[in-house]
Amino acid sequence: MADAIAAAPAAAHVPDPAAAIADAELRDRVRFALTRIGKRHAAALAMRHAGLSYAEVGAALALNANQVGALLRRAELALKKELENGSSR
Amino acid sequence: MDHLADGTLRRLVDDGETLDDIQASHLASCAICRSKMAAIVDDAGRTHDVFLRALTADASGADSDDADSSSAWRSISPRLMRRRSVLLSGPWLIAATAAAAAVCLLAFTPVGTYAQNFLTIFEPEQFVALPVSRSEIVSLPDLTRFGTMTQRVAPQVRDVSGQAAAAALAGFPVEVPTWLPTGTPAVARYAVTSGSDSTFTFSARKMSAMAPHGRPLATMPRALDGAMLELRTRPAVILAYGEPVSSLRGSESSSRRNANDDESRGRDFPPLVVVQAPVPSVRSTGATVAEIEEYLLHQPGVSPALAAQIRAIGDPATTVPIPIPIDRAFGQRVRVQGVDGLGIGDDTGVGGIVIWQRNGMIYGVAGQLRQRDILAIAESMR
Repeated sequence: MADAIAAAPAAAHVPDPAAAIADAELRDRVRFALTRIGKRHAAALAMRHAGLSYAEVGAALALNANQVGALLRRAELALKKELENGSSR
Repeated sequence: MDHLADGTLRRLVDDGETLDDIQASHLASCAICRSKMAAIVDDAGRTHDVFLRALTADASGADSDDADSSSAWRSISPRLMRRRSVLLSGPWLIAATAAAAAVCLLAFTPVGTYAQNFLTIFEPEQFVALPVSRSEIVSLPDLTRFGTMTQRVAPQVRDVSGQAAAAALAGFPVEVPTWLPTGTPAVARYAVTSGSDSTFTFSARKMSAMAPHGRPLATMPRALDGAMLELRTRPAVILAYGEPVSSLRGSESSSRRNANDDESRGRDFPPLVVVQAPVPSVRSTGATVAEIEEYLLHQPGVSPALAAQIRAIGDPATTVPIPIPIDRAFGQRVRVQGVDGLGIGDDTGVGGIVIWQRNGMIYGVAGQLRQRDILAIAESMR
């Protein structure tokens, strides 16, 4: 039993049409949510998740590193709220 | 001092070295900041996973006619996927994965809007050895035949500077051994793994499609078909003492490493690893652990003797059976920190593990040491 449970994560790689549809729906939800949280928030999230450092994000948005942290935090909360609202719509 | 700002805490998630000593000390001792930090870590991890999944779907759906698809969005996908590979391939991953497996940190919990539909069906309270033969292990049914696993939040591993930083990032007080055997490196490297969220959905249709020829699987009960389990691992702190033997010896030919997989795996672990994490839980939309266990035990490949052994272990909702190859090691109940735990290994020094649960936390100590030394290390944790 424990072996079977421990082996479970490998199943994440099994192609599954339902999972593909769910991922595509999530993609659309994320894009829509990003359009609603404000340009600076969306830009900070996109840049950070594209691999830019805090300094690079800060340079692009004229912020210091801690301000970038604060912006990211607000952006993540806003995105979370939008995705939750999207689920209930 | 004032509580730490959200921006400071959020930056700490991405860069563990941003706090000065005063801030780190405050964070380690302030329940308010630690609670806030835990929420920030959780939100950051979920956002990261959402981006990864969205971009993965974007990459696989290149022929989508979605009018909202932007070239800018697509342009960051490859970079993000590279970043993901870096996150998941660090030197800590092997130790983290092994240690996490050692203390069974897989959990099933609800997230988001589904939460109200789930019931907790499993919370480990004790670990019990389940002696199995190699043939029994090989013949166990593959869980992937019974449904689909989707990982929604992948665990991330971060190196941190020490005990206080680890406690701050993980959100719980970190215990450390106060005794180590002679010859064990005295200084530990610290890392924190973030939580992970996965779902497993049982599917009778998939089970039928994947049933092996000539060996039909037992019919899936209606209560299981479509039932969803949600798995969640919570932040774990890992202490590693010393370097993996393989890193000290430098590169070796792959042919030699592959010649004996067990020996190779042993060289990939530090001499001593200590893991601690909050107790995980398993939640389900309906199916109970007993129903799931009973169904799986009726599958071809599970011998009647093994099934009887598992049934005899006790309450499946609180007991974790740890399969132990009978030709490699032995498991025994041990007393550690005033509670019952499970010791796996021997007294030859080849290697061993001690696992126990106390006050809502799971602890694991694993090392290439004698069982009695591993137990003494576990007993000394404060």
